[in-house]
Amino acid sequence: MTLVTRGAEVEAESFGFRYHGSEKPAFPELNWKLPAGASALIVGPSGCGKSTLARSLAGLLSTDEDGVFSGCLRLRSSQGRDETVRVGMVLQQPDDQTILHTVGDDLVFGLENVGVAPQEMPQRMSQALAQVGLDLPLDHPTSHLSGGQRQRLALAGALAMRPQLLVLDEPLQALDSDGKRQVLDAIRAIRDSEPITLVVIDHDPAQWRSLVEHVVMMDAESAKVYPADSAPLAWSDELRPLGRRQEIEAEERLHCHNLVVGRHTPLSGAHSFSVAWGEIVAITGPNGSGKSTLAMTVAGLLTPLGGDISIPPHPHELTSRELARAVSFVPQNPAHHHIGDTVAEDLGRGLDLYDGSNADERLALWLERFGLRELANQHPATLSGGEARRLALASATIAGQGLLVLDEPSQSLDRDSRQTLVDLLGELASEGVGIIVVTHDRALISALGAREYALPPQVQPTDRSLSVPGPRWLIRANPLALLGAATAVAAGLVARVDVAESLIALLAIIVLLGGGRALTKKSLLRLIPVSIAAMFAALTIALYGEQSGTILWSWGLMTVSEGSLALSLATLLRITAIAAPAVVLFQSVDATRLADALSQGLRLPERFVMGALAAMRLVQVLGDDYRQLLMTRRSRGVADQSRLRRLPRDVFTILVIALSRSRVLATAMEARGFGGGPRTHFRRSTWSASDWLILGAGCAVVAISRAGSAVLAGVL
Amino acid sequence: MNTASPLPRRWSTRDIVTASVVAVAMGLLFAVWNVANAPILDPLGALVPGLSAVGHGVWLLGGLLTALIIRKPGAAFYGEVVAATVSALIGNQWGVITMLYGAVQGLGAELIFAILLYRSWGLVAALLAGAGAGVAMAVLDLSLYYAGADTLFTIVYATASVASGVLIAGLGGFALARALARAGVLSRR
Repeated sequence: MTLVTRGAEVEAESFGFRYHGSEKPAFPELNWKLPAGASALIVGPSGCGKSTLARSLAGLLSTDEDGVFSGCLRLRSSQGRDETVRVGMVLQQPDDQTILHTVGDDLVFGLENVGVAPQEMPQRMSQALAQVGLDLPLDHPTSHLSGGQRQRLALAGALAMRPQLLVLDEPLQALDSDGKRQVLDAIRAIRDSEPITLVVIDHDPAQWRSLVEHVVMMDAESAKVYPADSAPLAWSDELRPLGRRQEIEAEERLHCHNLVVGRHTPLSGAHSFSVAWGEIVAITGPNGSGKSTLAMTVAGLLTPLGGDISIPPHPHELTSRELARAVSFVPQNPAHHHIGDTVAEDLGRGLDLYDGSNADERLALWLERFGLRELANQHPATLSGGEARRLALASATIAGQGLLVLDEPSQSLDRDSRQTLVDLLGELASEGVGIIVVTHDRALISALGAREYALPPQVQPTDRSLSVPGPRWLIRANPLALLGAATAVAAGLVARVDVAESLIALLAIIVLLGGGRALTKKSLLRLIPVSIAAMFAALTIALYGEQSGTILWSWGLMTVSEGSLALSLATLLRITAIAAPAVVLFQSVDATRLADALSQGLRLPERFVMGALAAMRLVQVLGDDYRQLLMTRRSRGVADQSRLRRLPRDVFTILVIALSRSRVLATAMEARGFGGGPRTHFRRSTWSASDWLILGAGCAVVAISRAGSAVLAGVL
Repeated sequence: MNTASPLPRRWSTRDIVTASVVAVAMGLLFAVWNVANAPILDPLGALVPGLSAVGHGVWLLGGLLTALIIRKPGAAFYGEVVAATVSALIGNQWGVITMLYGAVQGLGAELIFAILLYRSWGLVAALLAGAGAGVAMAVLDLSLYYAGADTLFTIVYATASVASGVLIAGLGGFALARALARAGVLSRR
């Protein structure tokens, strides 16, 4: 079957949009006609409403919840007047627009949402993957994709739905140069093979020159349309280089000797390099070559696995405060760096590390210098990408630290913000700060005139599958059967506290689980806390249980009697019998299978089940955020308190990050047709004879233990 | 936001995704607390009968926070169930039973918001819902784990559970939701 997707015509007449509760229009009024199959670039500075325009083109803004439209926007299919135009959309953030756990599930998500027949799905999926040049198995976990692969997967997800208009909202911004090239190649291939209409939104026109026919130039006041050839645009990506800096007598700021780095296992290679006063060194290398790991080790956040770092010596052994005064670190995601509730407070926390006098003046100076004065009372979470990065840079340098380590500082920044970054780093260097920049950005390196320290590629570990532990019958079981069996045991045992009953139940469970064969290392590890909890509960009941029989021991409120000891033993057995099957049976359940079982088997509302499933992918993302946060907090001098005391603050920060991620995720899901009509299902959740068996076994445990204890009671 | 004005009752896609993500984040907190609570609370519980429950309110935050942010019928129940499911999937000492706990605790909070006709989401409503979730948790704990306990233990344990629900989940959830609103991350843009 060959299917040629036709493009759609876009026509805007005095088109505008205003958010509810806002006085101003979100973007300037637009008059524009883009013929079917043509391609256009919309450029303009940050904050001029490009993304809002993109979302309204994709039909993702609602008049109920978002705001009011004015004028008129028409999307016309070239195939027929009555056909509704399908719009595909790809967003900027690769991490947040991946929706599900495997490549196949992610691709098929949109197809299910719009009700494509399951038998048609495999062909559409393989076609879309081929179009974007992704040669990956469908069960490949999305957590193992690089940024460029993720963006191509998002593109494939949109293409599989056969859109007539494709809207790309800054699809390259968060990518390194390899990723950019991959995505551009994929888009070029799509343009060559299909007459799809393409609208690209970007603040950097450089990469798009050969791909677009129209250019819409936007700013806060107006939107003007040009043919691409005559658009008054600087297409170049180059940044203005720093002027020749004054040579400073090269006293060493940092010296590494045979440094071996790694998070758990050492990466190959030993690093020897130095950074002098006022020098800028760029650490470069392909993805996965250990650039960030090296930078974080130098910044004292990871322990070196070999060799030394001098000045400061052994930075990983310093307290958080000592470290923060010597070396600053700005992570890839500036949200991990912010610790204040306002811009001014965040800078103030940085200033706490400052020794000099006139701190107030310095605060005012830094606000001015980094262009933050107007934003002083804003919460860091509400800043734009460029502003957030300027704040991180300001807070990292305000105490006059001698060494500054930056991880991908130009990522997601528009050209103006990158130029500002170059100029600021130049100023800091001329004040004597030694600077290490981890970057892919060639234009940044050459504008900074940085000395390059290139890392060779690492051999990647080959085991990349998501392996699920446990015996086969457990892996294949329907999660509902496992849920049912464990619940049956719990409900059956909860009624009475009886030693015999609990003991018989426990023995029956051990027999039914095949002795120790269902136990994997993972489930054994999980059973350790169960046993500890059971023992504590038993101890509690021994001390504070219902007393009867002879009192054996008594001290204050604590009393141990024959009766409470018997109850204690029963408690120990009962908790173990309830928790052990719950833990062992659940060890192999993965979120996707559980969600399928809940929505298809139990018929729970799909919007909620799928929403929860998509959010669960963020468990790993937010877990990484938390680890990164803990490390970065150390470099801000606030990690000397115990981790538990910092927990409320950290929970809040993670929530802030989670909520900003959820906004992108929601848009990405809506762009794939989520929340509309009834869905179809590619993965079928099945219920087989063995599932009845599992459920029956759960009930059998209860019946056997009841009967057994009754018989015993009769005999005794 | 004006607490008196009736909000649209239907969940938008964005509500669902936001609620899910908040609940997942709380599920991660549950997972941290699953490990961290024992060394703090167990000795306390061994010294004073039933006092270990004072820290259990952390496990009620999923429902409370989700409800206070989303303000829709079912949010407390949904948030608590999703958070508990995440905690079970990450792996904890209670396995599937965690989901049962999530459902019961979620219903405890949901019931209070329902009694208030889903119209109040202020501090008082939060404290009451925290208490509701605390009662639900205490009933389940006392029948599942401490069925053999004496009266003193039962009273102390139940009181500590409810107090923890009110303070940690109710007050804590309210403070968190307000801080998030102040930070500007709950706006729709």
